[in-house]
Amino acid sequence: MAKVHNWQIGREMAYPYEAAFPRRQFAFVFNINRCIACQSCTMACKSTWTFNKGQEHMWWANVETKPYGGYPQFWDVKILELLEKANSGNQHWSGEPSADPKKPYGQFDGQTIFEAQKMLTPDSARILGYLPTDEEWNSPNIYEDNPVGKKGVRNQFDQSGVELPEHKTWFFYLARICNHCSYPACLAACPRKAIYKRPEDGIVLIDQEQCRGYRKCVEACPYKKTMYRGNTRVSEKCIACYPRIEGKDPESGGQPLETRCMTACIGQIRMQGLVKMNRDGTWAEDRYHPLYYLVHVAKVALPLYPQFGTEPNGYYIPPRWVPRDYLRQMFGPGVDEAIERYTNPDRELLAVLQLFRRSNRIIFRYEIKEGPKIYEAMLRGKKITVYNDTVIAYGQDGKEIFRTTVEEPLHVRPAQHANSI
Amino acid sequence: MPYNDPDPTDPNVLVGVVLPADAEAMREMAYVFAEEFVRMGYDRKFLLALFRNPLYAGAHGAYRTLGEEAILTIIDECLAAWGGIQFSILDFGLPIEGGEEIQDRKSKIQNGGRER
Repeated sequence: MAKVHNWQIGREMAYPYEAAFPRRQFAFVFNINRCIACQSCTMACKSTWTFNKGQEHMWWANVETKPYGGYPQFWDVKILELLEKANSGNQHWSGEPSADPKKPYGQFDGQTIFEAQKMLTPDSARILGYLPTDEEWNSPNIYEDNPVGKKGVRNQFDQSGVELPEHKTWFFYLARICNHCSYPACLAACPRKAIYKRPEDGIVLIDQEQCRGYRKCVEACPYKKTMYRGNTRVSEKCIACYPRIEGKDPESGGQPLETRCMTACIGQIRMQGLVKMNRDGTWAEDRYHPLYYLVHVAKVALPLYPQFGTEPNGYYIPPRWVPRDYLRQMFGPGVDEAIERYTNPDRELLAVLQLFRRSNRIIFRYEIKEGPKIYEAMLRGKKITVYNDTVIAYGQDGKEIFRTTVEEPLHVRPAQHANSI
Repeated sequence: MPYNDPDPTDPNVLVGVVLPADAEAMREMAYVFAEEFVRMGYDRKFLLALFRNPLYAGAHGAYRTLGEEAILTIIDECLAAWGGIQFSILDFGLPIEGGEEIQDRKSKIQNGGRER
């Protein structure tokens, strides 16, 4: 195996191919604090890409309730369990989060899915993974939020309501799509080299003509975002709505548009973009790119399970109310700093957070025009100061897409039009 | 629907499992609920009613664990911080029916979220 540098785990790691990086990388930030699991993203994706026969169980975009749920069921529990078995008691991080772009979260000293494959038999297998059962794929969100009724009684809700499941203490919604990883496990596992990463935007695609449906990618992807289609006998996955990214969607006017799942997000949790890459695979400094700012400057957005080793390009602002041990396992050691900054945002962060979902166009740069101080208070011993700054978003062509302010207007419908559409 | 009911002996099945969380996690959740609803214009009375209501399971869970006194402290702290936010209500040239009610609510909000 080749040696590649994975900045998310802060060290060199083994990978079946030499490192090769795109010029720009498809990436996104999801603010979990805002997600209400309305599944608008899920349905936007489903109704665009996976509505055909044979795709019934496919949800390229899904939202699951953590810690109870998962699609496919138990995906993260199972892969974490496999890694623990492979390297028992040693899946730890060392060092501290730092300003070094080559190891911003410290160093992961355990084994990634590429390194833990030594436990596999036959030893020709390249990546540690597992193939979910049909049952695990079939019922996204089962037993998460829905009332299930009495044990053993099917298709009937509990009459008294007293036995509805109650999430004791905490839970949160985790929205997921393919992470279009920098070191994709699906690509590494494919014996036919049918999976490729596009040099122009880092989107990972399966060549439908080359694929023979061996399902090695399904087995290898730790996030379980490649899926097998029985009636065509090939695998399929999220294509990052690439016609939109390329600006070929009729409504785009030639400018890159965000994916369907992003633009459908009514909770305004999602922002997606294209980030510039250095030749060594780190993000090129682009100070006023909103994703660069959130991931590398404010450091409020963190990769999902960075310890898997695929260098996922999906980043999450962790939910502030969830016990830290759980979050550290899910997002790595940067969690405490991220929550501290998100809970007490500085002036710039507060302005950048307003950029989420004001437009369907991809934002390439932002600029902040300072406004007056509008609010000052104390909460939990910390001072809150809010400025009504204006944040301006620019597109790929350098032209302004929109401008918005920190102070959000509240629109009240007149009573005579309360139900008008 | 899945083919089988969940197997309670399967360690992966988390249905009905209480995950460890200390009172601190509860407090964090209580603050999140209180802040959210204060920012939406809830006053002390409405917010306490929400925490007392068992149908708001998360908030009520915090209420049960921390007790009413602690919840009231959290509510008051959040009201002191965010209760003074003023909503600017713009109309679009249409007469607003029930305008008095809105005015009443607005003045409550301006009054730090407390009843006049």
